[in-house]
Amino acid sequence: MDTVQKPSGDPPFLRNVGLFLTYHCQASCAHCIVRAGPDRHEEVNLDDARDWIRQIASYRNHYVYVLSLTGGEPFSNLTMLREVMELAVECKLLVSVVTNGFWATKRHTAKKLLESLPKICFISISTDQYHQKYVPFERVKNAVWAARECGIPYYISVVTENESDPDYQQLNSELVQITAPGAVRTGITFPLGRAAEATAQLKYKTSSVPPKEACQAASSPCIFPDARVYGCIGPLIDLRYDHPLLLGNLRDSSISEIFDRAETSVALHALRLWGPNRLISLLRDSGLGVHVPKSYIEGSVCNACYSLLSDARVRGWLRDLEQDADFRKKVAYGRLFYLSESGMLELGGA
Amino acid sequence: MASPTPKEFAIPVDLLKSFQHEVRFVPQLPHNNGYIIFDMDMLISVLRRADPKASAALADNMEALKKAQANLVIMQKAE
Repeated sequence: MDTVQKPSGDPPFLRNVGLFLTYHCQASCAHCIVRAGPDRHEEVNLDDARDWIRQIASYRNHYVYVLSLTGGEPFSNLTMLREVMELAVECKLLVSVVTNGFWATKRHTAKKLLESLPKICFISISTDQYHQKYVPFERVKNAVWAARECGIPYYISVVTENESDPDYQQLNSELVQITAPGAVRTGITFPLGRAAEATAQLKYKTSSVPPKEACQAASSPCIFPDARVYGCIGPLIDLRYDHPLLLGNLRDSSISEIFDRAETSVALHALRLWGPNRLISLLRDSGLGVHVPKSYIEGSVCNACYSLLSDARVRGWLRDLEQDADFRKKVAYGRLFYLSESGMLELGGA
Repeated sequence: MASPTPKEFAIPVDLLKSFQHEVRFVPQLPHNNGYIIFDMDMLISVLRRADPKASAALADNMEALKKAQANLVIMQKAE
């Protein structure tokens, strides 16, 4: 993946919060890290959702701008989706939604549905070789058309194991027929969740060198139906251990407590500033090179991060790093320099 | 200490020099796994949905600036 060096362009911290509505999905994609599917019915409890949305909205006097609804397929349970969206709008949060577009059976049906929902400020429509086994491309086209008609900005989100994969390239050429190339966002899948069961068939390009990029996912935490709050919605959600990006549990702490703690997390912000590559260098410098992953998936910061945090010794080292005054100071001022963020300094985290 | 920065925090000189000489990489495309990051497109959408003419004109201007590779910067005035 091409990289650019520039002073910023990073998403701001905590302005966007994800809410994972449901594990139900019409598709049971081979790459799905949360193993969503038609047989899954766990979803967020509406009373919990109401409580959490109110807490999100009141956190630091409307600090959070956007509630991003994800899953699973948020459109699976329209009653719940509508209720959650209405409350979010009432709480003055903007709402974005991720979908596979299964509901867009016809152009006008899709438009009518989008018009019937409270304001959606952004929609991400997933399609790729995995989703297409379950959701015909025609529906994706209808969903894109309806989003345009309703004036809703959208991305088409595509994942692949390898950007040189012919299937992926074929799909991309079809997508540019229906939308501008800038509206297509590509991600690399993870060999986790359901994909972990098919590792022999995966077509990743690997490298012995870790990706150099900073992590942009850890700017936006995500709340799961069981009340766990993760610092991102990457593969770390598959790690059940205590680790720096498992920010807390809403059964034990409030949103405010969890988000404030996250503001001063050294590991989380080191990832946002320098990506796992910096932690890997520090691990080597600390004489723990034996715990550094041997192989990385090209272009996947998430995979490097997951591989690192899967190691218990690394997690212990990261806990110690939280107490390292010099590194803490470097992270706090690094946020000020690169991201114009003073939250860590304000909360006494340096 | 270096020159004042937002919220009156000043970056210590040794750290400032190290940051100025550091090479930092960010992904060319934002992370797209799971949800969407608030960005300029979203702001444009919000302005458009308010509907009055003035909002639409502002959105058009911002979109033109975006096409010209401009960045949206919102700054808080130093107290």
